[in-house]
Amino acid sequence: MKTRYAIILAFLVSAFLAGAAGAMFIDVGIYDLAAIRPHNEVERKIIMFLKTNSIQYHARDLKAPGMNDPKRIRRGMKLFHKQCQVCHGAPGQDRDIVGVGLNPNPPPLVKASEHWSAEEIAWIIENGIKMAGMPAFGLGQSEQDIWDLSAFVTRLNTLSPEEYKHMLLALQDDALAEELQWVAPEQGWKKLKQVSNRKRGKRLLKRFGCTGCHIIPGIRSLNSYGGPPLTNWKKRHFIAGSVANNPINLVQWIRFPETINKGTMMPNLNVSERDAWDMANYLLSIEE
Amino acid sequence: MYVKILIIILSVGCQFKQPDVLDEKIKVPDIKRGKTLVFAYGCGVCHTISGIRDYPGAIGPPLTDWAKRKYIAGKLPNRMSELILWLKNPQAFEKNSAMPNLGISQDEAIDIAAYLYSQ
Ligand code: HEC
Ligand code: HEC
Ligand code: HEC
Repeated sequence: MKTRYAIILAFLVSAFLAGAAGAMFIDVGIYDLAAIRPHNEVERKIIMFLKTNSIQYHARDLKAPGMNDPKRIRRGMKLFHKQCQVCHGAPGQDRDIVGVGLNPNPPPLVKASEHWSAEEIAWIIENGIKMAGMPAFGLGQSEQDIWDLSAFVTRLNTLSPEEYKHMLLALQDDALAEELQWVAPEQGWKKLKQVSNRKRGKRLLKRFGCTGCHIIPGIRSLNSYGGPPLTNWKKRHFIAGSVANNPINLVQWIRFPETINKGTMMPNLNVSERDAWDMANYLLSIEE
Repeated sequence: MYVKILIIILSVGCQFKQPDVLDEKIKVPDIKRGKTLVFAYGCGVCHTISGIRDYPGAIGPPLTDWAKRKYIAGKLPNRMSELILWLKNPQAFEKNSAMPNLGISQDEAIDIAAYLYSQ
């Protein structure tokens, strides 16, 4: 009998303590709400999971109008420059001081079109993201504005800092705007699949001595720090911080690095076009 | 003199506390403050950096094992003094670099650099 009472007593005491701890967490403010300190790993995972599911669910009925329209993209850029760059920055351009203190940090949007469809991006712009500092733009904005913004955010993925600067100038100048390529050019993804050979690329990366300067996942490369590690290359956005990372640009970089980045320490190794496509195929498959 | 700071940081690691060895005028690098600044400036949304959990950044090169790297942006030798210049104004070295000028002050750049080398 005695032990049963002891167990009940222990249970009550621990329930009370748990309650008190919970109250303290909420009431006293032990939980650290300071924006300057990052979320811990568990919090971050939960937030990401919630966010992705919620946005995919809510945007399921939207249908984007024709997005590949130069006029739409130019209008979208005008709005983007005015309303979004303060927090998200742009290729080669920093966000404003307002965007600096936010937690979560507003991510650069150059990669947004790889996580989200045009419809999902439009939904985010219209509705914002709760408890994250992403404002809802639905109130002051027409539906057309929102699709224009979404069209430009999708185009960001392919822009270099230099192109972005040219486009900024062309916002004011119609004659200049005529000459610019508002719609994304061919990136070479189809050709990569059709004509290049990943296995051969892997062998070539070793043969050309790329692994002497670069850590390349899947190929033995110890202590190779002459150039940046090529880890997670599939997801990487820029090549040498200069141009968007896509097959056509990557082949150009492997063959003639100095044409993309004058004065770079990456050597020209006399790579043929075919060899470069094969190596690009391997690099663009690296996901670790 | 920055080279001296670097050597000290590398050898003493996080328990850096030897201001007496340094020139009086130089600020003592504060690795912990460096880490806070790295988060506040959002370096992690663009770079993979050990010890910084943020949006998984893949806009710029990974900065893991930074102390072993030979060059900064494929142009400058990787030393404390050059890294501070790069952090303050990347466009001075690469006109069209996609790493923005973040408006970092000299003091902040010293702490941030110290954090990167301590990884
Ligand atoms: C006040 C600052 C602020 C402004 C202004 C702002 N955003 Fe955001 N935005 C954020 C923050 C913070 C997040 C991150 C939310 C999160 O991680 O949950 C975000 C997230 C996003 C995302 C999702 C990104 C991703 O990959 O998860 C998109 C898309 C986006 N914003 C688009 C825009 C557009 C377009 C504009 C201009 C119309 C804009 N934002 C203006 C702060 C802002
Ligand atoms: C002598 C050393 C060296 C060799 C050999 C070398 N690289 Fe590089 N590589 C570099 C340097 C230095 C950079 C940084 C260039 C810059 O940012 O301007 C670089 C940059 C790169 C980048 C862009 C990295 C980034 O983070 O943006 C890729 C991709 C690349 N190299 C691929 C290759 C391939 C493929 C080969 C073999 C054909 C190769 N490299 C051989 C030194 C080398
Ligand atoms: C908007 C994205 C962005 C932000 C924010 C950013 N960087 Fe960068 N960073 C880049 C890009 C892109 C490059 C490649 C630049 C180049 O080669 O021209 C780079 C290059 C670098 C390099 C040289 C890397 C190498 O491989 O040689 C260092 C070091 C660096 N950044 C540190 C920082 C630090 C520290 C911060 C925060 C204070 C920061 N970056 C914030 C995009 C960013």
